[in-house]
Amino acid sequence: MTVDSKNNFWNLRERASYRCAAFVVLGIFAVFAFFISLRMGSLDLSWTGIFKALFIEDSGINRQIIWNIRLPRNVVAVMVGVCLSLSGAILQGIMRNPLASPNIIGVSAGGGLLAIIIMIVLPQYIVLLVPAAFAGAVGTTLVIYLAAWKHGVQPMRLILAGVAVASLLGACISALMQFYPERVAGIVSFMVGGLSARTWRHAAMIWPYALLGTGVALTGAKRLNILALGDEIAVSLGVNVELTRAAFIAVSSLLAAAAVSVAGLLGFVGLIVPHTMRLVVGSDYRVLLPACILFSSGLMMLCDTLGRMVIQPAELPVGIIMALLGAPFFLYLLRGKKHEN
Amino acid sequence: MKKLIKSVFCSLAVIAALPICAKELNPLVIKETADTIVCRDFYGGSVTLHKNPEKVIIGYTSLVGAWYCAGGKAVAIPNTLEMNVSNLPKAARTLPRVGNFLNLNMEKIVSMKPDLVILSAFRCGQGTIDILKSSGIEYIVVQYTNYQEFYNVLDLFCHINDGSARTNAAAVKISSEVNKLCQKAAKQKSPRFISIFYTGRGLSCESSLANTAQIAKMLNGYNLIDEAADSIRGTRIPFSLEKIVMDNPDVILFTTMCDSEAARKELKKQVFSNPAWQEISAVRHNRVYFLPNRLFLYKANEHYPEAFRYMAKILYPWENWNK
Repeated sequence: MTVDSKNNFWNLRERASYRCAAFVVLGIFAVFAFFISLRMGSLDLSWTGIFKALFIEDSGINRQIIWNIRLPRNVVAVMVGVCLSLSGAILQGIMRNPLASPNIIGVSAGGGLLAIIIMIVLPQYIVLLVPAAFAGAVGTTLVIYLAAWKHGVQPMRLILAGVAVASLLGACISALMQFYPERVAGIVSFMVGGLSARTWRHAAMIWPYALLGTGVALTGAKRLNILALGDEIAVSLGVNVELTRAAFIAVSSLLAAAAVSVAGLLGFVGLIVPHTMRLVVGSDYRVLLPACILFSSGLMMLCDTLGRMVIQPAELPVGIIMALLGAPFFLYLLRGKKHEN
Repeated sequence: MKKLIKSVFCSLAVIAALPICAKELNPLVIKETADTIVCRDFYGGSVTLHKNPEKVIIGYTSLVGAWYCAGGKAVAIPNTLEMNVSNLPKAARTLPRVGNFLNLNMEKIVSMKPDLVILSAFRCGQGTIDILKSSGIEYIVVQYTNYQEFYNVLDLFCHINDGSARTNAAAVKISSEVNKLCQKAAKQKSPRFISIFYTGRGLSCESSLANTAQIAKMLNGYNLIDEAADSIRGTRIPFSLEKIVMDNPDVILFTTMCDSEAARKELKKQVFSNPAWQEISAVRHNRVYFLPNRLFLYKANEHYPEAFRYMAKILYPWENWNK
């Protein structure tokens, strides 16, 4: 073994150990966030009280609050965080653009537009709110893809088409607010994004898509790594670039649609989490995606808890907390890091 | 002796009336003369208006009812949704329109050369005010979100029409009916209530600055979120569902964007699909009410007595409120 290969070998070992340690820390973070969010709230219960409410009691206020208010809210927070962070990570990989996220490229706005149409134009169909948001997000992805298509889809065309479509949808939302100004109050919480009053019903709506999307993303992580190297290299490595890209866009929009339908237009998760995890574990999608899952789960639960506690018993929507964190982080990214072209 | 008794009696009457008068002083009216009135607008500044304006344009639909109640007439109003036209006074339904209240057609307004333009602070921009100022058109910016603020605005409108809420027949009818209902409710045991605005996307609780909650409070209800709302000073506050369950209200009032019975049934099913609600006394005793938008979401204006009566029947169903 030469000196150089010996150094490389130790670097690889060190890197693997470092990543293991990082995953342990992320796992502890997620678990810690879960227990903190279960513990904190308007009802001050001890750990013993929480344990009894979860596993021993089958009725009473403690049981109802822990089992039917805090726990489903945590579960939904985890799934929404996972969906948005994976969606953002995938988009950043296939578009090779650090600004790509479900919000920037219009997927969230598509879901938002249909949801807002239901809320203010057709409030009698309010029960179709979640499926409408889902359909809007998925439909928007299709429109963006078709708009960007020209003998195939280039990442830059995709992101530019996404930005244009997002602007168009944003204008439609503003127009609706102009024509129905007396109903604007009803959509404010949706536009900010929040987890208030999320129940097991919402968790049941989102988990199939979250599971499917997460599974596909994790199994396709290797292909994401190849796509991130550029189209020519990917083709030379035997990857069908167009098909793979289309598949990942579909997965990304599925994940974003599921999150938007349940939590509203929650911003920054799809941007902050993947970039933060790149700083911690690197850009290899085989470790980046699982890291995003762990970190986003913990972050969403902690931010939601902060929103519930900071002015309790009133609540700040988690979207506001995320924006307060996300904006400084975004500025840090702009000023601190050097990005490759 | 007779003179002495009379003067003592009059003095006592004046002294007794002072607190009432002080309470009833309208913060929106600063000074008035035979021809003009100086009033405080929403932004705290004062504006001088000529009384009895003939050509009045109203820039916010909800103010139309209040203006007509006060004895005024308008020559134009903003665009109104088809389903809300029936809520307008009959005389105002076919008036020319001057655009959406978020985006008034200033050219049309200025070309009509009105004596007065009444605007709402809800969405009145500085640009609108600048154009009216530079055109020499008198304007007033007002806003109300609850009955007490509505009454002050109504009184202001009465003063602009050279009267007052205490002499205007329509205003007197509104206030006396409301006061009668409140006095009757004051004798009842105070129910603990929460007023919720639900959109299908989340719920906010209303403080007693908001329309529905204030009506319930004036009818001797106890708003469970008042304590928390004190430090926040908002009308609608995203509130912890845990706290609602813990506080266990006797009555829950819902306002939503949808008005159809079928949609409300679905919404009710959606809300109460969470078993946590079953712990609440109001849910167990079937005292959850979805309120009509006409009276509680939008401004009730001259229909406030109807809104109060509706609320009284909800809070105290064992009493006869039809007299």
